This record gives sequence, C-alpha cells and structure tokens, in this order.
Amino acid sequence: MNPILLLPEFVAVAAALGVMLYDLWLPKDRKAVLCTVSMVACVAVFAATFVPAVADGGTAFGGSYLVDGMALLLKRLFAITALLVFVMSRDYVEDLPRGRGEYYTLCLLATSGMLICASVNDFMSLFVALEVVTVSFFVLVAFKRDSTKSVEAGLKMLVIGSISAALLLYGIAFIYGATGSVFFADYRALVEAPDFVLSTELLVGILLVFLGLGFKTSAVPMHVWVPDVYEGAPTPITAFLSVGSKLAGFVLMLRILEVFGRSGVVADELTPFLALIAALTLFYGNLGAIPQTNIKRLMGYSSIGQCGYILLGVAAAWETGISATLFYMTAYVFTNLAVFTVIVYVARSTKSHEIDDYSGLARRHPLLGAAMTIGLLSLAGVPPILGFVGKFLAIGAAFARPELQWLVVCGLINVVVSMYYYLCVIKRMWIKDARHPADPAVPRRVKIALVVSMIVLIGGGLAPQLVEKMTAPAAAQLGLSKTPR
Amino acid sequence: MANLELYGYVILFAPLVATVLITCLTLKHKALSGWVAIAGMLAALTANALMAAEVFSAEPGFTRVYEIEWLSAGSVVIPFGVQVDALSTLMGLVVTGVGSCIFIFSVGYMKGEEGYSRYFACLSLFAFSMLGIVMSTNLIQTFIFWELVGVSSYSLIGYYLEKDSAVDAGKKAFLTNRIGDFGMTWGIILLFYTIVDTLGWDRASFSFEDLRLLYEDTGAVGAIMAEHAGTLALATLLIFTGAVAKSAQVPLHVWLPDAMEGPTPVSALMHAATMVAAGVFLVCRLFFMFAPYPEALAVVAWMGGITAFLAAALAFVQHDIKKVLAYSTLSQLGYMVLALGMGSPPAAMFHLTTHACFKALLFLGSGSVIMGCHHEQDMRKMGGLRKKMPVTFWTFVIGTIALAGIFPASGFWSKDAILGSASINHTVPGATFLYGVGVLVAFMTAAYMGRCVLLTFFGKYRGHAHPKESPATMTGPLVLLAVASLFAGALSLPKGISAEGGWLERALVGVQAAPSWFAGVHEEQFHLSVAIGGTVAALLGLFVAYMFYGSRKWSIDGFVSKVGPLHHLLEKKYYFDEFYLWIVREVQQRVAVLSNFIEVHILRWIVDTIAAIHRWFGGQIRLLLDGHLHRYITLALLGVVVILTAVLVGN
Repeated sequence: MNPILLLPEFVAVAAALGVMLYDLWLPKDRKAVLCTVSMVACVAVFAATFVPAVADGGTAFGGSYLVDGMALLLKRLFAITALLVFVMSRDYVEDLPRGRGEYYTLCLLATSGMLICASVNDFMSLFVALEVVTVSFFVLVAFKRDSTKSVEAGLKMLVIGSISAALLLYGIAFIYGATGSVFFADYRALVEAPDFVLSTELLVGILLVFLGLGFKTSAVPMHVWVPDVYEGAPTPITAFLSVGSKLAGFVLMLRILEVFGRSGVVADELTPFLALIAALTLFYGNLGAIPQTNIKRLMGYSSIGQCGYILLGVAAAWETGISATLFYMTAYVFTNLAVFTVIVYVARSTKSHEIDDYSGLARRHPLLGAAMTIGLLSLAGVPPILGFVGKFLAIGAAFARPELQWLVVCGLINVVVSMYYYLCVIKRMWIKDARHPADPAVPRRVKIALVVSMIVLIGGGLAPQLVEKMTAPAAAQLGLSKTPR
Repeated sequence: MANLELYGYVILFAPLVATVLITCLTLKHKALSGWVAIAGMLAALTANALMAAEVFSAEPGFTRVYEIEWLSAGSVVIPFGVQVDALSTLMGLVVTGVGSCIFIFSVGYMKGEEGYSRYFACLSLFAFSMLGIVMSTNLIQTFIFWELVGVSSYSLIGYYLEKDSAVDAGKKAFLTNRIGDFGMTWGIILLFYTIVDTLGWDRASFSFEDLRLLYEDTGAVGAIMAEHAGTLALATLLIFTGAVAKSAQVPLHVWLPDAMEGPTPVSALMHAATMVAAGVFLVCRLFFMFAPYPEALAVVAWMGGITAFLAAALAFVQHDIKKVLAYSTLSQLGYMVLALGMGSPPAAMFHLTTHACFKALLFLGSGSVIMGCHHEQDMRKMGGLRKKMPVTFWTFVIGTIALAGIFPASGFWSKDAILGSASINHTVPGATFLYGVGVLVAFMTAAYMGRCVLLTFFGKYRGHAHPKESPATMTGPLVLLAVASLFAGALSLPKGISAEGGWLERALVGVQAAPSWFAGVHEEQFHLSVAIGGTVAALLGLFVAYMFYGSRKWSIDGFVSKVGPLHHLLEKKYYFDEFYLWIVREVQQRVAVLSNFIEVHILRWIVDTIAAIHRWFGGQIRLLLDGHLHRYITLALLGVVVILTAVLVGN
C-alpha cells in the first residue's frame, strides 16, 4: 500500500473539484481564471511525476495499481496534452454561451482518468478508469448544446461507446471465466508458467478486449464514430479526443500486450490479429481522408490512419516495437496538438472548417502557416521532423519480423497515400490566394505553445536519440522479448 | 587542450548565430545587422586565433577530432563535429581573417543598398558554410556544407535581384557547380561502396581519419586497397570533379567570370579568397587519397597547368576591371592545383593563403575604384586615379606586386614554392613542360596586372564622374590586407633562406602522408635558378605592359592586328560558352523533349490511374460513414464478427 504513488492523480482530481467549487464564486466574466488554474494543475501533475516517491515506481492498492517506466512516460504525455488543450481552449471557451466552469472540470476529470489508465493493473480498475475518460468525453463532445451537430456527435459517441464497453466487458468476463482472476499479476504468473496452455475462451476474451479498446484508439472496426464526432465536437475537445483519449486506449493495449504477450503462444496468436486490424485501419483512414473537404473530418480520418501506424508497432509485439510505439505516441502528441491549435485559431477568424478557407494562410499568418505545415509534414512522416522518425521506427520494428513483411508494404503504400491529402492542405496554404482577408488574432501563450511544439518537432527530428532516451528504457522495462520471435 | 573543442564550435557556429539573429530580429535595422554580422565574424576570428596559438605550438601532425554521432544506420555512423589540425586552423584563419576585413569593408561599400540586411545575412551564412567545410570531420558533413556554400554563393551572386544578368550569373554558377557536385556524390558513393565491398561494413566510414588509416595501412588492409587501386583512383578523381567545379578549373570555369555580377566584396570574399579555394582545400584534406595514385595526380597537375595558362591569356582582353581579376583568380587557382598535382599540398596551401590576402586586397581595391567612379567598371573609362585615390592606389600596387610575384612580397615566396615543386617533380608526365608553363604564366600575370594598373591609375582620367577616396571603413581593410600581402610570405620561408625550412611544410606534415615513391620529392628547398627565372619572367611582363600601356612605344592595335585570329579566340573565351550552349540546345533539349513525351504520355497515365484507383476507394469509404447511426452499429458489429471469425478460424 503506497498511496503516494497516486500523487499525479490526486493533483488532477483535486484540481477538478477545486475548479468546480471556485466556479461557483466567480463572476461570469472572469471564468478565464479557471483556465489558468487548470493549466497550473497540468504543470503540477507533470511535476508530480518527477517526485522521487512516484518516479521510483512500485505498486499500490494490493497490486491493482502499477507505476513503471511506461506509466510515467504516458502520465507526462497526458499532462502535456491537457496543458496544450487548455492553451487552445481558453479563447474558445470564452466564446461559449454557458458552462465554462464545467468545461474545465470535465477536462481535468478526463485527464485524471487517463492518468489512471496508464497505471491500471487489473481489469476492474481498467474498466473504471476507461469509463471516467469516456463519460467525461460524452458530455464534452455534446458541449455545444445549441448546435445539432455537437449533440448528434455526443449521442453517436455514447451509443457506439456503450457497444464497445459491452464488448470489453464481455471479453473481461471470458478472461475471468478462463482464469478465475481479474488481476494482471495473476495473468503474468499464469502465462509464464511452463505448463501454460492457451484455451479458446482466454483467446476470445483477449481479442474482445482489444476490439473494445479499439473504440478509444479508433481502430477498425470500432472507428465508425470518429469522423462524425470529430467534426461535431468543439474543436479543442476533438484535439483532446484525438490525442489524450487515443493514447489512453493505446496504453491499455500495450499493458495487456505486456501482460499476455509474455507467453510466446499468446503473442503468436495476437500478432496476425493486430496486423490485420492495423492494415485495415491504415487503408480505411488514409483512403477515406482523400475526398474530405472539412479539415476536422480530414483530421478524423487522419487520426484513424495514424492509429494504424501505432498498431503497426504494437503488432510487432517485441521490445523494439513497443519502443517505437511509445516514440510514435510522443511525436503524435506534439504534432496533432499543434495542428489542432492552428485549426482552433483559424476557425475563430474564418468561422469555417472548410479546407478551402486555409488558402493563403501561410502568407496571412506565417506562424500559423508554419506550425500547420510542420505539423502536417510530421503526420505525413517527412524527414527531418519527429513524425518521420516515429514512422521509421514503427515500420522498422515490423520489418524485423518476417511474417509482417506484407504489413510493412501496406504501411509504405499508406505513407504515400497520406502524403497526398496532407500536401493538398499545405499546397492550399502556400500557393493559393487568400479567401479571407481577416488575420487570425493569436494570443501570445498560443504563439509560445506553437513555437515550442515546432522546436520539439524539428529538434527531435534532428536528434531523435534525445526522445529515444525516454522511450527506449520505458519499453525495455516491460520485459518483452528483445528479439522478434 | 580542452578548449579546442569549444573554439572549433565557436568558429563554426558564430556566423550562423549572426545569420539567425539578422534574419529573425534585425532585418529592419540596417546598421545593426551589419555590426551583428561583423561581431559574429570577429568572434570566429578570435576563437580561431586562440586555436592557432595552441595548434601551431603543438608537435607537427597534431590532430584532434571532436565529433558527436549524428546519424547512424546499422554499423555505419555519420558523425558531425570539428577537426582541429594545422590545415583546418590555417584555412580557418584565412576565411575568418580575410572575411573580417571584407565584412568591415562591406559596411562602407553597401551603404544605402536596399537589401543591406539580407546581404549581411547571406554573407554570414556563407561564412558558416565555408567554415563548415573547413572544420568538417567527414565526407558527408563536407558535402552538406559544400552544397550550403553553393546556395549562399547563388544568393549573393544574384544579390541585385532586379538585374537579369546577375540572376542569370547566379543560376550559371549554381548549375555549373551542380555538375561538379554530381561527380563528387558519385565519388563518395563509389568510395564507400568499394570499401564496404572489399573490407566489409565494419571498416566502412566517412571520417577522414578512418579513411586515412585505411589508405596508409601497410598490412592486409593496405594490400586489399592496392588490389582495387583502379576503382579507388576513379573514386578519387570523381570527388576531384567537385573541386574542379568549385575551384573553377577548366572546363568548369565558366561560372566564375560571370559571378562578378555580385557585389564586389562578395567577389573578393567568395570568388577570390575563400570559396573558390575550397576545392584546393578539399584536395589537401583528402591528399592521402590522391597520393597513392600517380595517374590521378598527373590529371590534377595537367588540369591546373592548363587552367593557369588559358585563364591568364583571357585576362589580357578584358576591359572590366573585375573581370581581369576574375581571370587572374582562375589562373592562380590553376597554380594551386598544379602544385597539388606536383605532390606539394603545402605549396598549394601557401599560395592559397597569400593569394587570399592579395587577391582580396585587389578586389576590394577595385571595389573602392568602382565606387569612386560611381559604379563604373570599365577600365577604358578610368585612368589617372593615382592622385585622386592615393590609399587605394598604393595598396593596389602592393597587391599587384604580390600577385606578380616580385621579391619580397608574399606572392614571390608562394609562387616560388609552386614552381620549385614543379621543377623537381619526376613522376608527372611532362612535368618539365608544366614547369615552363608556370614560368610563362608568371610572365603573363605580371603583364596583365601591369596593364590593369596602368589603365586604371595612370594617364588621364577618361570618365565623367568625380572620383574621390573612399571612407575609412573601406581604406582600413585595404591597408590591413596590404600589410598582410607584403609579409604573408614570412609564414613559410624555404630552406636556404631560413634555418629550419618552410614552416608550413612542417605544420602540414600530417597532410602529406607520403607513400614510398614520393619521398623527398616535396622537400621545400630554395632554388636560386627557379627564383631568378620566375622573377625575370615577372619583370619582363611588367616591362612589356609598360611598353604597351605606359609609354605607348609599342602599339597595341598593331599587335592585335598581327595576331587577329588568336585575339578573336580570346575575345570569345575559347568558345566554351558557345559550346555549352550548343550542348544544351542540341543535345539536352532533344533528350528533354523525349523525356517529356515519356512523362506526359506514359508515366502520367500510370500515375493518374493509380491515383484514380485510390480516389475511387476513398469515395467508397466515405460513403460507408454517411451519418446513419444504425448503419454504423451494423458496420462495427459486422466487423467484430468477421475479424474474430477470421482470426479464430485462421488457427
């Protein structure tokens, strides 16, 4: 029992409750203070992961809660994600007619759920943590109550989210039936035992859990909600969904892979399954993005495509694959949030999310244009930007496994396909003449966030070993096999 | 010695910092931009001087390599760093020293120009690129900075954006250099491939010091290297094509005269003192790759000799004062390359150093003249400036004496070193002939420079402006460079004059790395006969110039009419430009038309079809998610069932 391990979560929950209470006292025109409080909370969460008692790692609550290298890395990423989301939220929320206080509370609650996701060590905590995130998002997605699109998006997410939760629970039930336990520690002992035999019930259970988690990561076939919800939700929430919620899903996938993948038998079953999903997701996202005319919808499909690349690393299912996945996720945080920040501020001046309205952005507002360009190039995987290294590592990890060579080919084809629609946006920004003469007004904190993101993206791309220094040990600590099976 | 790494990185990055500062912050504050650039350059110069104090007091052959692992793929590492040895320190001093003078000169020369800040940003970028080549530890780093030099040169030649001829000259320089770089790329690839192929991945490296170990190995590795001498010599020569383009050797020399379209300080810095010397520097850096192959060295020597002669002849028919200097630069670069081919990198580096001083001086002097005459470059419209611009005149004369190689100016010593190396060489076929060419070029150099000085500074003023002396920011650097031009010869007085012999010879001992057949060839002795021959040739040249242009006792028109066809050939610059134009129009254009046909009718059809297939699939996928929730649910659950079945049945 070591509750200090939960310090980051305590900070996040305390901040959520504090914001909720403080909201009651604040006059209507001063709600922006809540944004500042939330941003400070994110910094505090980030700092809390460096407190020695937390950073040393360990387990709490009878082994239900685990802090290791991967959990710490993800917690830090979640803190950064929430911080950047708040940076882009402030002006957006000020424009909302009502519910400004709740917005920050719900965002912080979602963040606390993500933080727990990084550390779950049994299926009950997993389910609760996941639902904390998902339920917060149901409300946040439908936050613009007077917009039909927003409410519709919330409803769609709720229905499909429930189905996925059902799949997940169904899977957990199968696993419980096969093993008689919900604790990951028991599973680890079980699959590592020399006389372990993989029963069909256990396999079905694991597959159902992965499919259920596919809802969060937007993997085929549970991706169906993504384009509509991304389009309808308030833009900062779309950003939060596309990064925070997705990474929460991935960290759970990696955790389960770490638990069951210790057994070569299970890993060999999972590899073709994950590879199949990865390939379908890749093609679905990248081909679907081509005809889009709305930038948020485009980013929805792009986010499905990006999920495919991360799955590619997950499917490789050995130490280098996990390391590549963690690297990819780190790159993805900065990349996607930079792009969404630009989307928020462009929409503030043009009141539109049409890609046509990005014409001439680079000349109208060079900083937004540059950030968008670098972000999209990073998503496309163009050197020397961080996203390229992520793709390189993920595809490289799959390449090392002979049975995944076909998946590598799929990955490479999709790099080319994705290049097309990302470059179409960039072309518009740089070559076409502006449709809107209005210059987006960008506050200084957003400028700083964008510049920092760009520095991380390019600096990390030029010196990837700095990022690898964080991700590789976290992956090594998981104790998966060092060489492809 | 710990500071050496710091010095190295300061030298490399100080100009880059200046570039970034100017581009991002001070673009609108013109005066400040200039001083930021100068500060960056002086910082590099200071670091370089401190480095020189340590390196030159260390034992000969002192070399330190500081590098970080920049990129790695498998066992091959591409490092990035600084190599500190006598060669890089000396070359760095040339770049930062001459550079500092020229930066300061530019403050006066560029005053009131539209793109003043842009000029200094580009100039600093060039300094960074050039110092990158100088400090580089490996072929890849060198190549990157090599290209950067090309880019910054392009942007500075075309500095006067509104002038078509300037923009065209920029393009010409860029494209001509591209040809050389193409060869260089293949050279690097061939070299790397050969090493991997014969010695395996473990020995594969781009680092100079690693490569040197391979070439100097006397055991098993050396034997394998010797087996592949043909391929390796080819790789060496391919890399040399990069140097041929950058150092403007025939036949890739055509860009340099046109490059004079840039601002005069740019011509002084890049197209006289430093950038064009990069090729010579590269050969010195890689001399261990040339040394084992006498055939490769012979090619180098002949190329240098031919360039030196052809370019010197062209200098006689120029009327533009800068063009005279440009062809003179070509010819002097030919000298340096000749020295390299004769197996004497120290002589080449010696001449490179002295040449950087006096040619920068001459260019800046011509800049001062051009400004004094209100941007008139034609020598026929000058004359009599001796009285009106005394400082410019005297410094220009000193530069001329140095260039002509008159005792005791610096050019005398360095030219003597080159002629000496040629006179005693017995490995290059026709070495004696090349020695004769060298002496002849010495005569020609003195003659065309005499013509230039007499036309510009003596006689009556033939222009319409009111020339007056330039401001102190311009004359100051002139005086500094004049002093350097006079005394730089002291750097390396040969044996027989000073007790220990050539200082450069000893400092650059690491560069030479001579295989056995080479021993003793390049011992730098003072050869009285060579010195007398060279001096007599130079004095004779000055005399001839005086007879034609000073006293006018000999008629220039009469002479021209006697050698009509030859004069015409020179005026047409040996038809090199016409020949290249013909190739572009007749050969390249036809190939281009064919490629265009293939692209438009075949490749584009393939590409379009592939794109259409993807777009069609994209459209279909978009239709799947059409907003109907029940359809989404069906789709998701169907997907779950299909995937589960597929995986479970697959087992």
